[in-house]
Amino acid sequence: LRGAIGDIHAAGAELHVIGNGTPSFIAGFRETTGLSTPVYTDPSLAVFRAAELRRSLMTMIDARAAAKTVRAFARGYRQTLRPQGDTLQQGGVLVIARDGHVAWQHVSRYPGDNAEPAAIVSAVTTARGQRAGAR
Amino acid sequence: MLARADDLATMTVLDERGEPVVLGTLWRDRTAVLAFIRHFG
Repeated sequence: LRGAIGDIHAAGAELHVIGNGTPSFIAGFRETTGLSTPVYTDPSLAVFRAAELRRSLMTMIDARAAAKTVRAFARGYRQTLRPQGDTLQQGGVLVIARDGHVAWQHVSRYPGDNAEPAAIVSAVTTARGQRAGAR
Repeated sequence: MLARADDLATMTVLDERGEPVVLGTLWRDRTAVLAFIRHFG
């Protein structure tokens, strides 16, 4: 998503990253990724659950996840030996309009099942258009 | 899919100082994209 931050801002939204490790991991994550957007954490996973994101061992046992892992490894990506968070928890994306309407949601089914940045930007644009139309 | 984020709005996340941040404040002023990641590294 890093490459889409400019487009997300241009579309009128802010990107907020939410992990699930301890708060002390955030500074290192920010340094490693170079992210300039807000980063938070939800160690209890309560927000992940409320957002209806997936967490189970079965999400890790997926051929598509294995293929993504191999490709990521080939590109030079290395996960740390002790992941800073819950490895069974899958991620996702919510686009939330100012009135609390969830304009778009992506629920990752397995590791590497990431949202398409273009879809996120499109959802932001649509959410803002709906709000403007409601005035 | 969630239709509304009303339940999420009153929940909190922690910033890097460990201070709670009410989620609803994130979309109070502008559309928010919440990207939930599996882990920090």
